[in-house]
Amino acid sequence: MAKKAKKVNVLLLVIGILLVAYTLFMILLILWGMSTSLKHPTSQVNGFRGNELGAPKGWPWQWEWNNYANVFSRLKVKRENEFEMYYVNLVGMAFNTIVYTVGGAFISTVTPCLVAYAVAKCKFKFNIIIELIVILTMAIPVIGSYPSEIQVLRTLRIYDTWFGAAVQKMNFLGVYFLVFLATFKSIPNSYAESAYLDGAGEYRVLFNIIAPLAKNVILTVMLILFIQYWNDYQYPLLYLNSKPTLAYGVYDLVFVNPDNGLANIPTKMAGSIILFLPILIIFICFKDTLMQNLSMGGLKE
Amino acid sequence: MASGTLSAVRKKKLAFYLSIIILPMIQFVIFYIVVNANTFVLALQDYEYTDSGELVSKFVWFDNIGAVLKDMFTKPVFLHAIRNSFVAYLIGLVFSTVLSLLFSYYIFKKCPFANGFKVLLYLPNIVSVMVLSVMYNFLLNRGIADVFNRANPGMEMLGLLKDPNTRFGAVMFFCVLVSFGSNVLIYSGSMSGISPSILEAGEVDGVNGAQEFFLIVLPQVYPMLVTFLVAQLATIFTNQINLFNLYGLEAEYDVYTFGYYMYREITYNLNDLTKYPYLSALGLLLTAIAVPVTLGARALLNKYGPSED
Repeated sequence: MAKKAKKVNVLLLVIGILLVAYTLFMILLILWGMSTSLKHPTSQVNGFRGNELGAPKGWPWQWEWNNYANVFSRLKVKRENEFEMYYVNLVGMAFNTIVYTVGGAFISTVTPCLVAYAVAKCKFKFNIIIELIVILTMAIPVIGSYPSEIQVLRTLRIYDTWFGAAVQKMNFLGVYFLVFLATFKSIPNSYAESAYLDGAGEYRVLFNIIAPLAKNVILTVMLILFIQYWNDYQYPLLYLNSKPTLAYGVYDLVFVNPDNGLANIPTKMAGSIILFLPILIIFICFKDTLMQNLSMGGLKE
Repeated sequence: MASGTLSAVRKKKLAFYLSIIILPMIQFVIFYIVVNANTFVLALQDYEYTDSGELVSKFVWFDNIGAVLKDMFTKPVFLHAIRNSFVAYLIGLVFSTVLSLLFSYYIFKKCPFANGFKVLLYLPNIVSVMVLSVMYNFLLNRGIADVFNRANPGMEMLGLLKDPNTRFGAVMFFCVLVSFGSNVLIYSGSMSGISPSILEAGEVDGVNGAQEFFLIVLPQVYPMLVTFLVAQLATIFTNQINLFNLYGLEAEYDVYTFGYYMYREITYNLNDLTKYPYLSALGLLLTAIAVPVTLGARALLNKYGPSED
């Protein structure tokens, strides 16, 4: 019997071609950025000028690794307060980044997680209000609250402080509340009930029984937020002005044109790559966790 | 069991419940309700310096809103922002949403290199859009432009992100490129919930790829799609279309959106309280436009979209 000819799915073929084109563009863009970071700013031998699109010339040990060394040693951001002008160097920015990123990711994950647990597992009428608040704040756009928020923070005397940033991040609104809500609702109550019978209290049930069952989702959300905050420079620019992060340092390097010998394209590119390398390592280590599909099964239409 | 014991259990539960929600609720009251109410109050005020140099506020009622309304139809920056904000949304709708769905379908069907493409589509979320925008910016404005100008001595190519004729298009191309990330993860997750028996039934009936996508897959993920479409519409006036990443504070007026304008102005005037009332009035006006549009679109999409049946 003749084999039936396999039907070609034309739609998938076209999508595949588009994906290949997208992939090639992104890979070439990143490779171009990396190769530019290894060219000398001015040299005729291995300079950026005259070789804008090509690979760096010579052997790898002849490439301009000094661009990275210069960023490490000379990158600094100028800040001013009412008393003085001062600089924050790379170590200072790295410290600020770790505090902002780790602290922010932790608080922004734990807050909606805990509130979602309370709504999922404690039957009180107020739960309806909480769910309504989350849905309404997602559906109703509020624009232009920056001036007001800054004014409120200044009135509370927590503007441009770590405590103020922590308080701002301590909100349960947004899509991750729904992710956690769906997760906790899917965990059978029998786990908790067995623990109650054994004499466990509410906190013990939460932290020793239920949280471990949800640890994959908690870890995924925390990783996503960690990466988001690592790359974020707009929030620190507005709300943590005296505590610039690495992302802000790169923004400053690229757009503010510092007078410390770093105002050339290869060095700016090197600074940008320094920012994303740690995240690339984290992504390689946690790729499977990050790429799993988050479900919003609790979302009501 | 005695009712007194049940009551004690319920009291413990209530104490636990309150201990969890009290701080987040206080945070919500201060940073959502109070902040938004304060936006309204700010919009009705003005700040000015007295002769002694002190900054005082006074109520000007709807003067700021009137000024914003007038500027909305006369100031070039706002005229551009109105056009660009809506065009950016439409481009996002037509290109980002459609391509995200198609790419998600490809991944859902486990086609060749699906997992690799999934990682690459998520790359802008990892590498940082700012880093990609720096590379894109320098490639277009210096790499390609400098090579072209050297090869054509009589001509001067400005760079696609500098040339007034091409910069908005170049910005939107970049925005579409970096938009897929989480959308693809969520859509393909939603598609994975489709029952295999439905797909098999379609195959038996002889549907082709396009028919399977439009008649079977799309209706199944429609509720998720509506959520994202409405969420995108809600950001129509806050979307900066990566202008800050591409230009910093120095974007030209003709590419402005309201999202970029608002953030740029508050960054520029962080310590200048006299600018806050106008920006608050602008925010209120844009909210008044965005809310009915968003809710109306949600209602329409839910009423007239494809159904799973």
